Parts: sequence; C-alpha cells; structure tokens
Amino acid sequence: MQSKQFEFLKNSYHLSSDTHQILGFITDELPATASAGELLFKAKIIVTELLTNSLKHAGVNSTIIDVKISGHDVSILKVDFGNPLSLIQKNYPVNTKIPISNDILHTLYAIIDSGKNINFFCDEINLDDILAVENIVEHFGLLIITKAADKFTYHYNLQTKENLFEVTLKF
Amino acid sequence: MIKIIKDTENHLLIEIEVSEANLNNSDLFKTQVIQLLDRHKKTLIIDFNKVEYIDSSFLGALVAILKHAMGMKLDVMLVGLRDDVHDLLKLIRLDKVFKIFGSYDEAINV
Repeated sequence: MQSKQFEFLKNSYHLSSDTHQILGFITDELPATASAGELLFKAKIIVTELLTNSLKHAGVNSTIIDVKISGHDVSILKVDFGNPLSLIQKNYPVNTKIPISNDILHTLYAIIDSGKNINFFCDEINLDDILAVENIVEHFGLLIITKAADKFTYHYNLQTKENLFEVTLKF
Repeated sequence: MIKIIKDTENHLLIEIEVSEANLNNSDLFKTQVIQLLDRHKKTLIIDFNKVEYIDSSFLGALVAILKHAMGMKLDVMLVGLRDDVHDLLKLIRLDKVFKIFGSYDEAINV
C-alpha cells in the first residue's frame, strides 16, 4: 500500500496547486496497468470539492487529506475540525433514505448505517421535454463527489470532533 | 473576470478571463454577468476557452445566471468548453439544461 498525507492551512489555500500536489502523488503511485485518465479526472474534481467544502464552512482552520492506494482502490480521506454536517444532529433512523436535495435532474440522499457512518447516493430523474430550470439547485459539491466516487461516506467523531469524509475510487 | 468580445443586435459574446473558475471568483462572475444581462437584455454567449477547470461554486453561479436570464426570456449559451469542463457538466447533467456548442460560430448558426 502507498499512502501520503497532505495538510493545508486555510489562509494559504491555493486550490489549483494543492489539488495538483495530490494528483501528482496518485499519478506517480498508480500501477502502470491502471487506466489513469478517468480516475485522475474524478480524483481532481473530488479533491477540489473536498477542499472547497473546507474553505466554505466555518470553523475549519486546517484540512488534512490522506491518500491511500491499495489493491484496486484509491482512498481519499479528508479530515477537518469544522462544524459537523447537520445530518449528524438529527435523530434519523438507521438504513433509511434521507433526501438531502431534489431537483429535476437528481435526488441526492444519505443513508446512515449502524456505525453512524453517512453514505451518500443519488438517483437520476427521468427528464421531461421541458425542463423547469428554476427548480435546479445551485449547490453541487456533495452531488459532484457522490457521482464521481464509487463510495462516499461521512463520519463525525464525537470524541475528537473530527469530520471525516472518505471517498473511494476503483481502478 | 469577463470581457465583452462582441455586442450584436441579438446577442452578447463574453469571454471568461480566468483559467480556474472557482470559489474565489464565482460571486464576482455572477454579479458581473447579471449586470450585463440587465443592461443589454440580449442572449448571452459565454466563451470558456480560457477556463481549464470549474468547481461547484462556479457551476452554482452559472445556474443562477441561467435562471435570471430565463426569467427575462433570454438564452444563455456556452461555447469553447475544454473536455474536463464539459465532462463535469455532463457528470451532473447540466448539459441537459445549458445550450452547449463547440464554438461561437456554431452557436449563432443554430
């Protein structure tokens, strides 16, 4: 297994160069047999959205991105100490679809498992001929990660107050 | 941030002047383009040829601009998208709501 940890301080974020650092590591460590093109595209948009999420949300002073390459998986774990997702604070039933956003293109939803991990999924909506553009959401971060990833999970550690966003890409 | 390239009777062609279209410039982009729509009241063609990457914040700004334009019964067309940018729009199906063309000439000859 190959792994590397990257730490970014909020006041010195440079989204483009920070993302390229991580992509450089994945490119170097990916087995030669892997098809890199699509995976790197997905890794790029996922890392960008994970870092953008930290920039946008209050309480995040530094972000750690931990990348592991093992078997046929690239795992990207983001850790920060910002405010937890509001999903954590509500008492949702386990293993039930919880809608997060819904428009004419997608339904994004979460399922909380018995280990209090929040797994994100989305369904594509069948399109009518005439699109009601006014109903399209304007927040795409979670949707982009959910659609690009093979698996996307969020966990909040109550003891350490860490937000853990884990994304898996298969190659 | 944006530059007016052509102002005809029917449409306005603008070019995005940054290579990274992201959280750092999405609010300014939205404000400037909505001001242009309000002032010119014409179909807007946005040239992305200089944009190497676009993030969710900028996509949100683009959708807000489209909603504003449609409220004015105006069109927004996107041209000159690089593969990564086009692929991201396709991933979240925004290619279903924006009119996307390879070039300005293609857009005006529809």
